[in-house]
Amino acid sequence: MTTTTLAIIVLIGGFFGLLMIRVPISFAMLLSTLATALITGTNLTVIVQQMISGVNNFSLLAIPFFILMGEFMSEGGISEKIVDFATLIVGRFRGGLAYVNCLDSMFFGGISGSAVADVSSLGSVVVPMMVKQGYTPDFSVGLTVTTACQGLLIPPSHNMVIYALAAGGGVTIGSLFMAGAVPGMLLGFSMLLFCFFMRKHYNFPMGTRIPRDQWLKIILNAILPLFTIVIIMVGVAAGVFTATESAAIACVYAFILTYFVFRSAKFRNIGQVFKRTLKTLAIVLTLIAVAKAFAYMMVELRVPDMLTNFLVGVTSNKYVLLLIINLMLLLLGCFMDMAPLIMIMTPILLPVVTSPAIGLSPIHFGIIMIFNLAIGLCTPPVGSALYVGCAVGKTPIERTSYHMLPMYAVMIVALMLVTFIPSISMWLPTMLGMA
Amino acid sequence: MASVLRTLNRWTHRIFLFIGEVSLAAMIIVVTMTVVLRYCFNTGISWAEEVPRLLVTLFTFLACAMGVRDKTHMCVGIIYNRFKKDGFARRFLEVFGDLCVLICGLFMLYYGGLRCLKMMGLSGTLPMTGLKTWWQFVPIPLAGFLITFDSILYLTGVLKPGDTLFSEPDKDAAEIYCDSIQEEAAVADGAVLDDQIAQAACSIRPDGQKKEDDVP
Repeated sequence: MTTTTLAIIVLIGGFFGLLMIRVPISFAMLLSTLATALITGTNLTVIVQQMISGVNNFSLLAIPFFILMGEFMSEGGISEKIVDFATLIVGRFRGGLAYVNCLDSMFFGGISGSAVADVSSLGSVVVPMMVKQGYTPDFSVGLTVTTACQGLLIPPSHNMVIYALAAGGGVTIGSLFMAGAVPGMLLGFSMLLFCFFMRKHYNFPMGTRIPRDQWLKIILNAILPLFTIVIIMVGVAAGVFTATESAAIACVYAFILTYFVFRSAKFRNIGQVFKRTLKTLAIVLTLIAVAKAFAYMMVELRVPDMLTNFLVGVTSNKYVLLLIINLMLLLLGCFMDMAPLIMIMTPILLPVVTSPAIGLSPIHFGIIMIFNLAIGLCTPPVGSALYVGCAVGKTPIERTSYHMLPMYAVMIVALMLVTFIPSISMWLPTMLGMA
Repeated sequence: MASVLRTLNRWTHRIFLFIGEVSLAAMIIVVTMTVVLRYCFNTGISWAEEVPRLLVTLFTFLACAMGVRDKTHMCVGIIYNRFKKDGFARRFLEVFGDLCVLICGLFMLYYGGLRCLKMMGLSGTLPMTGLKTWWQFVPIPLAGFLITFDSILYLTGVLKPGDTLFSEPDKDAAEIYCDSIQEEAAVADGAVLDDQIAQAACSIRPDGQKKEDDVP
């Protein structure tokens, strides 16, 4: 066995081995990197240098800003306002609450950018409402969990910032934001269509009509939080500010909205908001720092080149290769969380998909990857959105995931469309001259 | 001795938590100010990119150390969750995890410190602030010190896994789900939690299988 082979086994095998026995992901990554560095004779201070260079990046600031913005909005209780607004639009039809569930996730996703936050905030409002109206708890939870995945694709999404960082300098956050908007909406409209065609099969109850005198209040209450999406999308697309700057502005806007306009949160609890943000950031930022060193070691050992050669050796058909990559990401997504997978798999798979054999745009691949891993958040055995959804709806995971099978099918169809029709992702950034 | 160490640990973290919160607020203020100055006064701040970059580096490693203190770092519990609660296997994995974190802490402390010392010998400065370049490496040994300190306290039993400082004891999604099922059982049983029902609920594995021996 050559030193390189041994080093690759220690790097990848060691990482997954430590991961499975509950060593924190970031530290499992760092330990396997250190062990590999000792085998290859790499100076360990280089690892320190790589960790610093991983986070010493102005674009990275967008992550804390977006997470803090989401926390401010959650603290201000915007979920009810968004649900009311969606009810106003589609709530009157038969199966109205099912449509509301799809639509509010689209709106909320554009504000929070997190599927788990979406499930816990919106789920706790919509699921009890749906159950009360006669929908089955499993359907209500399943629909909430699947529609929440829109939040990861519709901008802002801090996972897109992570992908942009993992992909290196070639991908801008702004172009990813633009590329994610249409696939996110496609997923939302696919779920809407699914509900529409299945309304008789599930025997959906009639919807509720909101009295006209409440319309204006509901619209005004919802339009202010939804303006966050406008700040980010228009700001970035029009070149008014960078993605990082848009995140800071949106964060300040969310703060003013919560504490001064709606006055729905108390100033004395602001410390708790910062602590919750810090808790999320502890996970994400450490991972980014360590993953940079891990990726450096992989490139040193030429792992991406080997994988490219292997996959191209299996088949030269672009579509089969893309199917294999999708399957790989879907499987990994079932067992691991999103951020670590983005950090680990991007440096490995990006050279493969951008190679002449496939010729994919890094922006398009970013959307495919995030879509795949978003499905992983709704699937057992490790699907944090599914777990939180089942906790909110108090339903057993095995029964709910069984009832979700048709919804998984809809998601897979949407994923295939996004994978094989590049213009779905690339149309908006190309039109705006960002790709 | 244990209580002195706990107090020392608590205060050290409180100071660093304060620094972390101030860094986060400062980053937002500086970046927002840059936009306001650019559009309202047609001017800018020369260090508007360099300072937030230094702050985010500091913030990252402080957050990393705080994550160790409150055990909020992401773990995969597929194997761990299959062992009995409070059993030997779980305890062994917890100690092993703490040992791994300790090694990482020592690495960050020693090699991060070494890198700082090496950079101190060089004359380079950061372009806008004029700070010596070694300043940007300081967060690593700092976090290394905190991580080592916390890991030793956890390994020696001075700190217990549920003894959190910044947050509620961290639960992964599977645990949240289990708790919700237990609550449901408690409500169904007239607000008195029947241990057997709770045990049965939590014996449902995420993959949908039930452990036969756990069914009451």
